[in-house]
Amino acid sequence: MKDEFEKYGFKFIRANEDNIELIRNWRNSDFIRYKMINQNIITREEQINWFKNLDKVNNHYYIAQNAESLEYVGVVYLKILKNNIGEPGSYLIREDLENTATSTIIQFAFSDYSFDSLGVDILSPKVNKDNTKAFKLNMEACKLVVEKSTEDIHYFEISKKEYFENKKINKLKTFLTKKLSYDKR
Amino acid sequence: MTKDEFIEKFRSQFDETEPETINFDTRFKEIDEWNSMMALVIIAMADEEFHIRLTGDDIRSSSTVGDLFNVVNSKV
Repeated sequence: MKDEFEKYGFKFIRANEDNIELIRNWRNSDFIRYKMINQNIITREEQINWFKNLDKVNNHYYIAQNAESLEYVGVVYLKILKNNIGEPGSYLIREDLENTATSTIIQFAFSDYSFDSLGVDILSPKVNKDNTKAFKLNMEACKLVVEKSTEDIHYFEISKKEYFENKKINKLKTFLTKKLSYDKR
Repeated sequence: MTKDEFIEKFRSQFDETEPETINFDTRFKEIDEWNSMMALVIIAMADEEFHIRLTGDDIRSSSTVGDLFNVVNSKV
């Protein structure tokens, strides 16, 4: 695992003692916390204790920022469960970034990283049932795991092979790579 | 690039939305099928079909398909 990596124009910085306060402030904003299962305000002490006790081998939190402007855009995370199954999550820190390409690009970058560097074989995102946008987005590439889904949460799965062989994802990632090489000329 | 060419390409990016429901007055972010991946698909479409570099800010600042056409057209 890396403390920092860069992909598709975004830089990812691993959560550490110095930046968890930044994450806490974003997480406590109304825009983000009301989308969480736990909607309580997290205190500074709770955040410090959470991070101190976090199993850092199996939980990977990264802050995403635009590699050029250095503007912070979101937080991505992966919890590695048994059998190399990873449960990914992400949130954007500003409302005006919702439903823009930023969200998809940072998810592509972090999915690549999860499969290639964190060693997961399957990504299994979970989505609140009332989040229809996220449901449709996951249905584009992942399989809905009906037997695991509950009244409130949909579970999805995509294997490493399915992800790297998905034509739509590959087309968009090729475009991003081409765009960046063009920008750097 | 003509207006007709643009809207035809724009409509063809959607899988579930009836093409005739999309016109230049359509507020594209209100289309059910619109999401963050569609935003990237439209940026890639502009590059591939018209060789135009659309940015995330261009999408953010446009409300209707007509606005987006004007942005693309201004970069031709």
